Amino acid sequence: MQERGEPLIHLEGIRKIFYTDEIETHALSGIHLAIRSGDYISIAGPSGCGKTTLLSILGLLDTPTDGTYRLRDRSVFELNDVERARVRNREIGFIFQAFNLIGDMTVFENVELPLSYRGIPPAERRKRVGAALERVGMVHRVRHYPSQLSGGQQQRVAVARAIAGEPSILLADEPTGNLDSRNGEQVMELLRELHRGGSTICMVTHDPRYALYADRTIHMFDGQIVRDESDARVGEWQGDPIGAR
Amino acid sequence: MRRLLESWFMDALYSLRRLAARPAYVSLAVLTLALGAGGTAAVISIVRPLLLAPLPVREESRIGILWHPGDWNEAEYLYLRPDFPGFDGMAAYMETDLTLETPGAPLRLLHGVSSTSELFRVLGARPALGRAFEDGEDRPGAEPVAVLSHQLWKDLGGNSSILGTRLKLAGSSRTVVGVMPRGFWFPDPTVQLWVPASFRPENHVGNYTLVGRIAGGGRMDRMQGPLQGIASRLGQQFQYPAQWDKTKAPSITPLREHLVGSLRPSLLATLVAMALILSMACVNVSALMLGQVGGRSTELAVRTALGADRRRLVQQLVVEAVVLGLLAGTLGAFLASLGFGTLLRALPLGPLARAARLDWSLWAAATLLGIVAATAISLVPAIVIGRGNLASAMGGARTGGQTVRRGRLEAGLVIAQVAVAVLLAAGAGLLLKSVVKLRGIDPGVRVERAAVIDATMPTQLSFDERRRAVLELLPALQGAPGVRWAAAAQKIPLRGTGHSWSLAIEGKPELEATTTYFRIVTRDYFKTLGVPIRQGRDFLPTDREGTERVTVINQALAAKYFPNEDPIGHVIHSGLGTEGEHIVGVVANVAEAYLTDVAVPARYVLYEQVPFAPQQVSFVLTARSADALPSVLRAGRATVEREGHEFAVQDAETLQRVFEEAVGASGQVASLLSLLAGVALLLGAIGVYGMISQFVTRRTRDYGIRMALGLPPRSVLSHVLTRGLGLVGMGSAIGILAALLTTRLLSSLLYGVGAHDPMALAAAVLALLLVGSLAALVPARRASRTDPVSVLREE
Repeated sequence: MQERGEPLIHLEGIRKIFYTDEIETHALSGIHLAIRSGDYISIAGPSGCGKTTLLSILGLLDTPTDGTYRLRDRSVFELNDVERARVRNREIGFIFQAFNLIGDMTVFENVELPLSYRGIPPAERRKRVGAALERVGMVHRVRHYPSQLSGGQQQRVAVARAIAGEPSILLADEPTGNLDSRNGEQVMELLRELHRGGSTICMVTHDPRYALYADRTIHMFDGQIVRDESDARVGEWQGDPIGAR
Repeated sequence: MRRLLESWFMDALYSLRRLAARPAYVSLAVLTLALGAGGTAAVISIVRPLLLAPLPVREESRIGILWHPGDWNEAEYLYLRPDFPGFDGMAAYMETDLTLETPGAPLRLLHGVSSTSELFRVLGARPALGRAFEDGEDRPGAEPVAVLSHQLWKDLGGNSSILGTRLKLAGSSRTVVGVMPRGFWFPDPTVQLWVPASFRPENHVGNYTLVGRIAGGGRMDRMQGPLQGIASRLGQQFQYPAQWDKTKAPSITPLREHLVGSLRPSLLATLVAMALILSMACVNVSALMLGQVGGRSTELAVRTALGADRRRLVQQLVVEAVVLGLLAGTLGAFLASLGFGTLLRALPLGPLARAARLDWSLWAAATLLGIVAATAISLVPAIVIGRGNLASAMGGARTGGQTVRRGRLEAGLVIAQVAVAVLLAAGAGLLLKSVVKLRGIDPGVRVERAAVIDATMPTQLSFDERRRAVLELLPALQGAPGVRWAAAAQKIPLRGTGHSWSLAIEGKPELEATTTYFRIVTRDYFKTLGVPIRQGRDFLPTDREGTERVTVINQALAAKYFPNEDPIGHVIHSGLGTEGEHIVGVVANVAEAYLTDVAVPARYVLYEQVPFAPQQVSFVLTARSADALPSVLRAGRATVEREGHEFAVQDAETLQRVFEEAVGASGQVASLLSLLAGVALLLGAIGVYGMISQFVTRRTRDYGIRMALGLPPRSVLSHVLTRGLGLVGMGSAIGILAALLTTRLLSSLLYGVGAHDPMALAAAVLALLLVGSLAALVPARRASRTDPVSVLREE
């Protein structure tokens, strides 16, 4: 686990263009972003501003059209498919808006899934799954299927799945988007606890209330970062102010 | 390795659970794949040995049948024998039935071949035990020997010590000198033994078939010279009537064509039909699996996001396909066995049915192919993920509808299935119409409530002994429980040509030498078979040995030879005695040979009044009621076996079955093709239902929005139905076009129906439209009941 404040992710000049038939959609235009270990970042902005696209690129779910992405000072684009899968498995924990639990698997099996890809022995897997479910308060539902859970419970299981492998960073894409306000707040409180425990979190949200849970809010508009509000770190990254580029 | 095995185990457990949660999809996919594996094994197990596998002879391309089967007599063969230019060898053979007498056991009838000593040499076949015939063993006075089939040898103990033992065959003791290897058969798999015939140069009778091996370097299509030479030599020695002049049109038929050629239309029709069914099954499975792609893509995208690499994804999909394939293979084994038996009964294979064996290697190959196909299709979502955008795969559709490309693919698959179903239904319709016409033909006998028991007597019995045996058994048969009438005949109707006799009519010397069908019967024959007397009388108890010889003729004979006069009282001379046979009655025409024959002259005489009696006899029993028929059949057979010590029962069946066999290949192939057409209709319906269901599912949001904006439910219903019927219509059009091009292949099986009969084709299209409409109606109704509120709320 990295020390708090150590550089973790560095994006420079990231562009993403979608080509559909004869139309070019510039989803991201020249994004520069640095994330340090222990950061809790929210990315806010109106629909279509490129928040989810940015998060997808951070999670190696999508590839940019241009730009560089360094994770732990190593260029992600130098990685082959197997290495990228390994990075997704070990370094990144993704929490989706639609939960994306696998319906034919129990709660236990869903949380265990990324650990099984890592080749962790069964006993160790059981221990880690138990610990993760304990942290999110879902141990009592370990044998249930997603269809037997409420939306809030499903999202908590999704959080457990994301943290079970102790990733370097948690990426959350509108984690409360499909939840009512009570459940949404519960999930946000959970994320806050995880951050206090040392997790690095980058969260996309369009809800300004939830954006305030983060220490640093990046505002996006039309594929660009227009404002980067943090309480301590503006302009400190390698001496260059982020927002000035 | 341990991690790998563990991951396979996890994937297998997950696959089983995932498949268990989708019973409809799994049932359809497994059933369809099983149909493919099992059906392939069953059909090819039959077609391969008969049409594709080499015959159990050496270099079959050099072996042919001269002129026609049964064309030759002993004198002709012996005259030609020393020298057959252009041939390495020539043998004559004839199928015959021999009785096997074993002390303490009932007389057993064996189907055999009587041949000249060259037979095995010509065929290039060697025994597995002992030897084949030696030169000279076919001469009169030679030591009688026999060569057994592998199956008969096993029936008799399967011991090599059988060589040198003696068997009592047809009253004579023969030494067993050889046993043929397993898998050898000639000319059909029911032949159990081969014996040398004693050929005499003075014998001008016989129905032998000549089989020859072309000399090395020769070709079947270049034998006209040697054949013409044989024809010329025949002309130098023998005189032939114009209509049977053997010196004209010499020919040679390849052995394969002779042995199995008649099966080709039926087998090819079955093979083509099954291939089409298999194609439909593959298309159906493809469509079913492609329908799973959407949901699977999301799952696979999530797994990829969690760190699964491509190998892991592929492994999971392959494991699931293997699980599906193994389930299908298990069911396929059952279907293979069931299908094999059904096809054997349904196809007009005759004695060649025994050459077919269910080949389990074909089932294994077909199962493997099914697994490979299922794997290939199941990898589609992995390919989609590999090429595309994980984020969009997990993001779900933001708009309703489907990708245009996948919709076209699925529509194309459904159209293809419907086309195949129409094609098969059209073929089945043509055959069914043909069979209806055939079954509508009046054979002239009452086929209901009648049982037939075929039996053979040993050759060593004299004519008198045979006649007495037949007549003495009749009272016992008449007295069997449930029997109303009993009679015997040397040949009953509907069993092909044969048994003709020359005819001369007293007072009509101008008549050219001719023959008519000649039937030796017992007194109650016409009553038993329900043949009405049209003129004069039936046979009476006063017609017996020593009294005036009488005959009953049929209407066709009366019309031909007594066109404007009463035939009663006229005398026919058949060479049975100087006094001839007095015509006492005229009966209605009966289909003496084939069901579709026009009426031909025939005449009937009594067993008591002819100086000879053939070896074969058919006993006919009429039951008092239809319910009693099965027991009458059993009782009749038992009576013959118990009371008729001189008889070996060959077969016992109902006259209805004889009639069905007379309907011929058309009837059997029609049944089979109807079954396959039914399967095709079912698969077509599944295809239409599945495709329209997925169409509706993908458009659910569309319909929700439109209905929220005011579209009435019935419009949604008609939109979906129109889509379904449109696909069925296109498929039907293509199917009809295919039918017009291909149904002429069934021409040889059709009777009274053209290959392009419009009613049959129209019926096929209507069947598909009906089935397709019903299949589309269910999802259409579901679509019309879309709740706009819940659909829009989900977004």
